[in-house]
Amino acid sequence: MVENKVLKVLVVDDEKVIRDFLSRFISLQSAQVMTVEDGQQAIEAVRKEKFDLAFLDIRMPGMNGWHVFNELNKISPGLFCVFMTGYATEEALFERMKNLGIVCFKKPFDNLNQIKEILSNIMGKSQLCLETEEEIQEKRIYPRLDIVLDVDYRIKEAEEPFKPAKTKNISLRGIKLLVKDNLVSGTTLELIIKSPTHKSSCNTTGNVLWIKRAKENEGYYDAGIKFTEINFSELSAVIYE
Amino acid sequence: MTQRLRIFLPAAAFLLFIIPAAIFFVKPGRMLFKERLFSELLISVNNMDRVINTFIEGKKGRVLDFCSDGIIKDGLTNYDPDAVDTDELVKQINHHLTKNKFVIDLYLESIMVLNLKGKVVFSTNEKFLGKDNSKKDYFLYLSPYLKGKGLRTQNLNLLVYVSDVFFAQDSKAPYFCVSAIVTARATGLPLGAVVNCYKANVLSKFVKMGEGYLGGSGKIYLLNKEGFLLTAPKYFSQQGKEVILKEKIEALPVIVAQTGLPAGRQAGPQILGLYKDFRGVSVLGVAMLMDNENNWLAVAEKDAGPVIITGLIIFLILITVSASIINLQKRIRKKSQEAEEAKNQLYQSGKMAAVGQLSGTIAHEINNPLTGVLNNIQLLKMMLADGKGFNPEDIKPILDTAEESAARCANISRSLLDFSHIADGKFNPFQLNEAVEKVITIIGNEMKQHNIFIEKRLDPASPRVRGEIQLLEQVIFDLINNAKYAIQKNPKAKVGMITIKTDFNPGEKKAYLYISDNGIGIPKENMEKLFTPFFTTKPVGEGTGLGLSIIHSIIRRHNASISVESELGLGTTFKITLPSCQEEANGRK
Repeated sequence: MVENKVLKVLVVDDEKVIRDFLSRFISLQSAQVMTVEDGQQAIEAVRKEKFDLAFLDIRMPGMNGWHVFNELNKISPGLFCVFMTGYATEEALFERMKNLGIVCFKKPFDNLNQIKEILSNIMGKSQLCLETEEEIQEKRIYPRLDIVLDVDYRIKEAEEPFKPAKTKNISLRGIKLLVKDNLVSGTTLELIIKSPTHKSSCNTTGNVLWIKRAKENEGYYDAGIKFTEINFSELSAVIYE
Repeated sequence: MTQRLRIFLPAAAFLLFIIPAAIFFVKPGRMLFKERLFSELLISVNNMDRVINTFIEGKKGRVLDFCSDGIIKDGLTNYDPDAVDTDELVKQINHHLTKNKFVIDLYLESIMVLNLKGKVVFSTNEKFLGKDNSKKDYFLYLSPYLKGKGLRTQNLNLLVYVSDVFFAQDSKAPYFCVSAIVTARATGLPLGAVVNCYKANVLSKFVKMGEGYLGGSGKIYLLNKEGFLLTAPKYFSQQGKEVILKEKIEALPVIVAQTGLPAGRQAGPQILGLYKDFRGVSVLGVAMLMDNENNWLAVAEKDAGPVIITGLIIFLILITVSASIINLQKRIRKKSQEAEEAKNQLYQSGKMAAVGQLSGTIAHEINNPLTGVLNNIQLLKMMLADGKGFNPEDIKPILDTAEESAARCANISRSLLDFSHIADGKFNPFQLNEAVEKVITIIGNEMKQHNIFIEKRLDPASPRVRGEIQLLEQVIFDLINNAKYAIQKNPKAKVGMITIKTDFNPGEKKAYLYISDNGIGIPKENMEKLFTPFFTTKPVGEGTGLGLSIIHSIIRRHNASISVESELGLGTTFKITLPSCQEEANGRK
C-alpha cells in the first residue's frame, strides 16, 4: 500500500516553457504533475486536491510566489514548497534563507539531479506521513532554527504598547515565544522580531496555535505562533545580520 | 595641479588688488575716484569763475558809480587845457578823486579820468596826467561811443569795459583797468571816461580762496589769451619772483587744443583730462573760458599721482579680471563641450539605467526560454541515457519547444542590443510600429509581472519616420515606465492598462504616437514643469527628474513635438507628433 503512493506535484508558473518542461521531467520520475498558470489557480487546485510538493515561480502576474506560498500553507500545512526564479536579486535572499529550509532553483535549472533528489526526499517524507494523520501535523517540513531573539508583541488591533518577549526558535512557518501572558489560542498577534543587535527588525502577524506553561521559566508561558503575514527578505535580514 | 594653479593665481592676484582698491574706492564714496576728482575740479573752477566775476562786476559798478559823480562830470565839462585855471581845476578834481573816491576801494591802484581824445586829465596819480592813453584797449573799446557812435541805441551810462592785464609803462606791476563813459548831465553826450586801475595780483587772492577746496595738490590759475599767467600758481618755481604776465604756460597748447581757444568757443568748463603741467607733473585738469571781454581762462588742476595709482590698480584689476574671464571663457567653452558630450552620455546613461533597472526582468525574460532550450536538451539526454527507447513523437514537441525557446532568446537579445546600442547621431528612416514592438518585447513581461497590460493599436500603414530609432525606442520605453509608475500610484486602477497607438496623417505628413495609461494623472500645477530638468514628484532616490526632460530634448532633436493630456485619477496621454517620411519610403519600394 505504501509503495503505491504516487507523489503529487503542483507546478505554478506563468511561463508555458517551464510548465511543459517540469511536467515532462517530473512525469519521467513517476510522479503526478499538475500545472497551473498563476496563484489563484494554484489555490483552487490545492483546495480540491492534496499535493505533496509545489514548484512556485516567484515573479508571476497577480499573486507573487511568496503570497501563494502563504496561502497554500494555510490550506495545506504539509505542502512543501520549492521556489524558482530567473531573477538574480532573489537568489541572494534564498542563499540567506537556506537555513530555514527554503529551497530555490535558478532558471534554467543547473542540475536536474537536484530536482530528482527533492522529489525522492519528499517522496520519503510523504510516505512516512501517510501512516498517521497526526504525524503530518507534527512533522516539520521546514527546519527550526534554534536562535534566541528579542520579539515585541501585542494583540492585533489592541491599542496597547508592545510587550517584550523572547523566542528560542524560529522557522519559516512560525515562531516559539516565551511570554508572560496566558494568551488565548487563536489570538492574532502583531510581532516585531528583532535581530540580535536590534539593527534590523521584521514586522509580522501570527496566530497563537497553542500555549502552555514554560517548564524552565516559572510564571512564563510558551506560545506557538504561526505566521500569517511575513516579509521574507526582512526575516532573512533579522536572522543573518 | 596646474589646472588648480591656473585658477588660483589669478584669483590670488585679483584678491591682492581688489582689497586695496576696494578700500580706495569705498572711502571717497561710490563715485569713481577719477570722476570725483574731475567734479571737484569743475566745482572749484566754477566757484572761482563766480568769485572773480562777482569781483569784476563790483568793480564795473564802481566805475559806473564814479562816472555818475557830478564833480567829475563838471570837471570834464569845465576842463579846458587852454584855460588859465586849468591847473587849479585838475588839482581840485584830483583831490576829490583821492579823498572821496580812491579810499572807497581798497584794491584801487589809481583812478584816471580821460577826455574824449584819450588824454589823462585827472588822476589820483599825478604821473599819469597828460598822458595819451588813446591806444589802450580800455579807451579803444569806448572810443567809438565817445565819438558819438551808437548814441541813440546804446545806453552809454552802462557801457563798461574791463581790460586785460597789462604792464603800465613806468611800472613793473601788472594792472588791469575798468573803464566807463562819463556823460554830460544835461545832454547825455559823452564827455570822457573814468578808468579804474587795479593791481592784477588782486586776482591771486580770489584764486587762492578757491584753491582751498581742492586740497593739497590742487591749484587754480588764470591765463590770458596769449597764455600768460594772470595769477601766480602754486608750485611755480620762481620764488618771490613776479610771474604775472611774465611767464607763459607751456602746457597752454594742450589747454588751447582742448578748449578750442582762442578761436572762441562757448564759455564754460571743459574737462581737459590727464596731461603734464608746467612742472612736468601729470595732472588732471579742468579749464574754464571766462565770460568776459578778454577771454581769460581759469585752469584748475590736481596732481594725478593718486589717480595714476588708482588707475594702475584698476588696470591691474582689469587685467586680472580679463585674464580670469579669458580663463573662464576657456573653461566655459570646455564645459559646454563637455556638456554636449554629457548630454549624449545622459541619453545613453538614461537608457542604460533603464536597462540596468530592467536587467532583472531581462534575465527573467531570457532565463525562461533558456530553460526551454537547456533543460529540454538535458531531458533528451537523460531519456537517451535511460535507454528505455522512446518514440520520435515524444521527442518532436521537446525539440520544438527548444527551438522556439532559442528563437525567443535570440529575439530578446537582439532587441536588447538594439535598444542599448549607442545612438550615433545618424537619422535613418524606420517604421514607428517596429520601434514600439521592440520596446514591448523588452518591457512587456515586466509589465505583466505588475499586472499591467499593454494594448497595441498600431496603424497597419505603419508610418515611417526619420530619426534615430534607438532614441525613439528610449522615449517609448521611458513613457511606458512612467505610465507603470503612475498606474502603481493610482489606487483606483485595479488592472493597469497602457495603450500604445500609432497613427498617420498622409496629408500633413505627420506620424502620431500616443501612449495612454490609467494611472494617477498629473495635477494641473505640475503640467508646466513636466519637462523641466530635475522636476520630479517621486520620492528621493526613486526619480532624478531627468526622464521627461531627456525625452523632451530627444523629441526636439527630431523636429517633433510632445504634448500631454491628463485627468487626475483617470490617466494620462502623451502624444508625440513626428514628421513622417512616408513618401520617401514608398518611392523606394
